[in-house]
Amino acid sequence: MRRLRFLLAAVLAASVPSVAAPAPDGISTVQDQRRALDLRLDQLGSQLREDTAETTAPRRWAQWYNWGNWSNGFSNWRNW
Amino acid sequence: MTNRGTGPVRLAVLQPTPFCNLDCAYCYLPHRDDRRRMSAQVLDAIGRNLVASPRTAEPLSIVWHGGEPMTLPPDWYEDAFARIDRASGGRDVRHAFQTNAIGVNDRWIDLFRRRDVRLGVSIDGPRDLHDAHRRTRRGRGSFDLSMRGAARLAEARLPFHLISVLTADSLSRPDEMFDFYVAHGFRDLCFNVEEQEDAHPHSSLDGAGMEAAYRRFLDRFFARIAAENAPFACRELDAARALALSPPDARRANPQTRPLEIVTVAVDGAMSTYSPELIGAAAPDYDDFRFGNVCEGGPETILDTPAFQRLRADVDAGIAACAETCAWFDVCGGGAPANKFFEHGHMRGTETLFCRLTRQTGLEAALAALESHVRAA
Repeated sequence: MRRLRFLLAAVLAASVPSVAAPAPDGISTVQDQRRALDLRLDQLGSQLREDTAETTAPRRWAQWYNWGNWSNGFSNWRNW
Repeated sequence: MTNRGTGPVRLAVLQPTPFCNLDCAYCYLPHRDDRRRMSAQVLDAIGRNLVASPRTAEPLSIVWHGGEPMTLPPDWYEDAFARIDRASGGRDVRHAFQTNAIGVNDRWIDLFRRRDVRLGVSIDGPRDLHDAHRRTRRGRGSFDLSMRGAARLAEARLPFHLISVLTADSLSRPDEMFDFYVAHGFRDLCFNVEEQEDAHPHSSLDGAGMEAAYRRFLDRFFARIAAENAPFACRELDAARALALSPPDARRANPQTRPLEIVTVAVDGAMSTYSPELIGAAAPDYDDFRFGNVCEGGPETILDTPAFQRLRADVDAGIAACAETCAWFDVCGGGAPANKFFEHGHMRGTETLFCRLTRQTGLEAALAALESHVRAA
């Protein structure tokens, strides 16, 4: 029964598109939205670097973000 | 587009015992009554086959995670650390505990200090929020017990961060929570969201209006941090800042979708990879996410098992689908396999509640706070 539910869920999910991210004004495709987010991060990064020298060495690194709930401070990337 | 590489192993999540002295309402672990302990044979094999493996990075982070790791005595860890040191030929490791801090005493403090153990303590905020979910096996709140342990660590000047799980009840109380942390000297904080995983299939955050409520909570909490005149570290803000400061091609690195970056070892030596929550979950197609045993070989043996190869194909398909459909893919790299599996029932899907809260809403709130900060500077 568990295997049947598992397969049924897989078939149903394959037939239903995932919920698309909300589109900011004037941006229509996912790829455009991805580029817009990258640009937004680049701009923020530039401003942060100008703002304080300290932020050139962030306390927690980007890879660390994607540990999800395991990003609890134990990664080697957290240089503190 | 997908994550074709493997390893190196950077994080080993070890389960010294499945047993936990608490019975938290949102816990995903199905076997927390199980009092088995990791054997000397398994500990030696972890040193020999995992820590000393050429596929393992040095230093390796070892997180002792349960169950509750502190339900075993400090002497057990003295022996465990020594065995791993000996069997690995003295490879450089960094030990860490994620714990409820119940029972911290001088022996624990001596061990933590001498071995430079990193500590994360689980406290959910003010008493009523904490006790609503984090209860003893007799149904009593564990707030006093955990706060006493945290106080002992603070008295001993051992640094630790706090992990607070956010539930629907927390989201209307950002000010009370912030005031609580400051009043008790907790200035290094990570928010976990209540997830839908394995033994806990329903989250209070899975409902109408919850993403907006989470956004309001974070907006207010970040505003309090900005107005605070003393350092206050919050993982969610730090992570967004780090994303902005990283080169674009580094932003999507995701250890949860890259095989072997995280290796989990269960109490009996069974190994797994990808999200640590997966090991032992019922999944006949993937051998319940148990891919060989550390007593019989190192992390490379995971890659050779047919069940892992089936899993990898499905995880990669899910990552490819994320790349096609998700605006946040470049800061995520394909989500958390455990959340996909437990929410969708399979690995090939895309967006989850966990994504919407932590990757989307959480990042948007943190970016808005940081952008406001640089505008005001």
